[in-house]
Amino acid sequence: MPEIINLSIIGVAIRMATPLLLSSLGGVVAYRAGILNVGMEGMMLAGAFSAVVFSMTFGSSTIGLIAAGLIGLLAAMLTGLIYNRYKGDVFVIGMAINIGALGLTNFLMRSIFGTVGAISGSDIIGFPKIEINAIKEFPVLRDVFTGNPILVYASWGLVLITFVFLNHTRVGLNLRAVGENPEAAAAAGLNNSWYRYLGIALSGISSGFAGAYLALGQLSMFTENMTAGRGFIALAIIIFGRGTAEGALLGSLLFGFAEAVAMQLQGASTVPPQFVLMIPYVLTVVALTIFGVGRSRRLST
Amino acid sequence: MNNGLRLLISSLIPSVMAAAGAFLIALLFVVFVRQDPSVAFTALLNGGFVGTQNIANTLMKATPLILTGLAFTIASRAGVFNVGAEGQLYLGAFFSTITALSFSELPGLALIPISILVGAFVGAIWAVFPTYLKLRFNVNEIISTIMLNYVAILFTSYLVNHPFKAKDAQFPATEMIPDQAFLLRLLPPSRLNMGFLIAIALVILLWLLLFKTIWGYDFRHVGQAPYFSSYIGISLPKTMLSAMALSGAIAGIAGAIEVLGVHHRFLDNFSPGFGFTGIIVSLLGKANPIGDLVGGIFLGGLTQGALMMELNASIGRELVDVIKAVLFISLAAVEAYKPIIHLFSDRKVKAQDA
Repeated sequence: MPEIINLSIIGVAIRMATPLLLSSLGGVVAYRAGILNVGMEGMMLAGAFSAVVFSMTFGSSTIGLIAAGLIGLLAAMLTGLIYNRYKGDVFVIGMAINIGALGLTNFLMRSIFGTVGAISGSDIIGFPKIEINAIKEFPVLRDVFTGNPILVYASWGLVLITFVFLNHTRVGLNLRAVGENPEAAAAAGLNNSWYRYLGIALSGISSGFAGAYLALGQLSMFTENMTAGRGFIALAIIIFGRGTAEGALLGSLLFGFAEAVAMQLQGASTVPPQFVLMIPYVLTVVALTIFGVGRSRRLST
Repeated sequence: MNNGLRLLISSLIPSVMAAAGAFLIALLFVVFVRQDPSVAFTALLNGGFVGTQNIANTLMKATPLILTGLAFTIASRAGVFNVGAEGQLYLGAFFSTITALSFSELPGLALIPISILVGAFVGAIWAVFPTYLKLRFNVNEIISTIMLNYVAILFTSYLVNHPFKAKDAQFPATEMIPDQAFLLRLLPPSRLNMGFLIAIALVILLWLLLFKTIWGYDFRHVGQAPYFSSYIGISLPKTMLSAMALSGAIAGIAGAIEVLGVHHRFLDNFSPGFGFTGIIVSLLGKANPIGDLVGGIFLGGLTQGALMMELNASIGRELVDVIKAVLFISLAAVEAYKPIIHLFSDRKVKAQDA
C-alpha cells in the first residue's frame, strides 16, 4: 500500500484539477447570470481540437491557446444568440453544442488529417513548463511549482479575479442581479441580454482554455472525445460549489485529487480499470447529492 | 385550407426548415474539405432511401433511434430531461443478454418477451434512481443522468471484459444467445428484424397513452404547469417517477432489441450514441410519438446513407454527425421560425397557438 499513495499525487491532482477549474470559473459567472451552460463539454472539446490544429499549423502553443479561446467564444455567442434572441432552451442548445463539437471534431479529424481516433506528432507544440531549479530538492514544493504550464498558475489567479469580479465590481453585482431576479433587474434599467451574453461568453472562453490545457498541457495530442465528461463534471462543481469562485476551486481540487488517486490505482493494483475510471462520475453524483440540497435550480424556461 | 391542415403545416415548419438548413451547412463542409457535394449527397440519399436493402437497413438503424426518441419524449412531456437513455440502453441490453443466456432451455415464445422485459425493468430502475435523487435531494437530473451513462457503460464494459466474456472471443463480447431468442429477420440479408415492429407498436401505444388517457393528461399537465398541477391534485413526484420509469424502460427495450435482433450477443461499447440521437429525434418529432417515428426513420436513413457515402464518395460518415448537430442547434432556436409560421396561420390559429 505505501507505494500507492505518495506525495507526487499532489502534483498530479493539481494538473488534473486545472481544466475543471478553468471551465468551472467561467461557468460560475454564467451561472450567476442565470444560465447553466450545459454546452461547456462541447466548448472544451472544440477548444482542445483547435488548440492542437493551430499549435501545429503555426508552431506556437500561444496561438493554439488563443484559437481555443476564440472557438469557445464562438460557440458561446451562438448559445447566447439562440437563448436571448430565439428563446431556445438552454439545455437543448447546450446538448446541441456538445453533439456538434463531437461530430465536427471527428469529421474534421478524418477529412483533414485522414486519421480516426487521434491527432499526435512532434509538430504539435505543447505549453512550455515552468522549471525552478532552486526548489527541486523539496518534495511538495517541487511537485506543486515545477513541471507545470503557466496556465496552471494563471487558473489560480483567475479564482481571485472571479471572486473580486462577482463580489466587488459593479458589473459583477449587476450580473448577479440579472441572474437572481431578471424582472427586477430589468425594471432597474439593466440590459439582461447583455449580462447573459457576458456570462456565457466568459464560460465559453474559459472552457476553450480548459480544452487547450487538456490538449497541450501534458501530452500535446488530441484524441476523440478527449474531454470525457469533464465539462459536465465542471457543471456539477459549479452547482455544489454554490456558484462561487472559492467553491469552484475546492470542487476542482476534490475532483483533481480523486482523478490522481484513480490514476495511481490504475498503475498499481488489481482493481479492474473500469471501476477506477468510474470514480469521478460516481463522485459527481455523490457530491451533488450531499452538497446540492436546495440549490440545484433549472434555470431555463 | 382548413385549420387542422394549417396547424399541421405550421407545426412541421421548424423541423423541415432545420433539416434543409442542416443539409445546406453540411454542403458547405463538404466543399470545405474539397469534395464534390453532388456526388456526396446523391450517395447519401440513395444509400439511405433507395432500394429494398438500403431501406431495410435504414429501418434497422431507425429502430433504436425511434425508441430512444420515444424515451426522451415521454420524460420531457412530464417535465424531466432524460439524458440517460444511453446508460439505460446499455444496462437493458446487457441484462437481456444475460437473461437469454441463462434460460436457454425456454422456447423462443417465452424467452424473447422475458428477455425484453428484463431489459425494460433494468432500464427503468436506472432512470428512476436519478429521478429519486432529483425529488429527494434536488440533484440536477441532466448532470446525474449523464454521469450515470458513464457509470453504466463502464460497468457493462467490465462485465463483458471479465466475468461474462465469451471463451473463444477475440474481442470483448458475451457468448451468443440461443437461436430461439433471435428476433425474426424481416428482409434478409438486411438485419432488419421484428424489433422494428415492436417499435411501431410502442409508438402507437405511447400516442394513445399521451393523448387519450388520463395518465397521459397528467404527464402533459405536469410538464407544462408543474405548480398548477399539484394544486389541482396531480401528484408531481408520482407522475415524474412513472414517466421516467417508462422512459427508462423504453430505452432498455431499445438495448434488448439491439441484442436480440441485431448482434445476438452483448458487445462492449456497441452503441454509437443512440441515446443522444434520441434527443434530436424527439425534438424533430415535436415530442409526439408519431413524430418520433418519422424523425427516427429520417435519422436512421442518414446514418445508413452515410455508410454508402463513405464507400462511394470517400467522405467520412461523420458528416452525418455534423448534419445532426446543425439540425439540433436549429431546432433549439424555437422563435426563429415564428415569422414563417405566421405566413401559414391566420389570426384564429395564432390565438390557439398562444
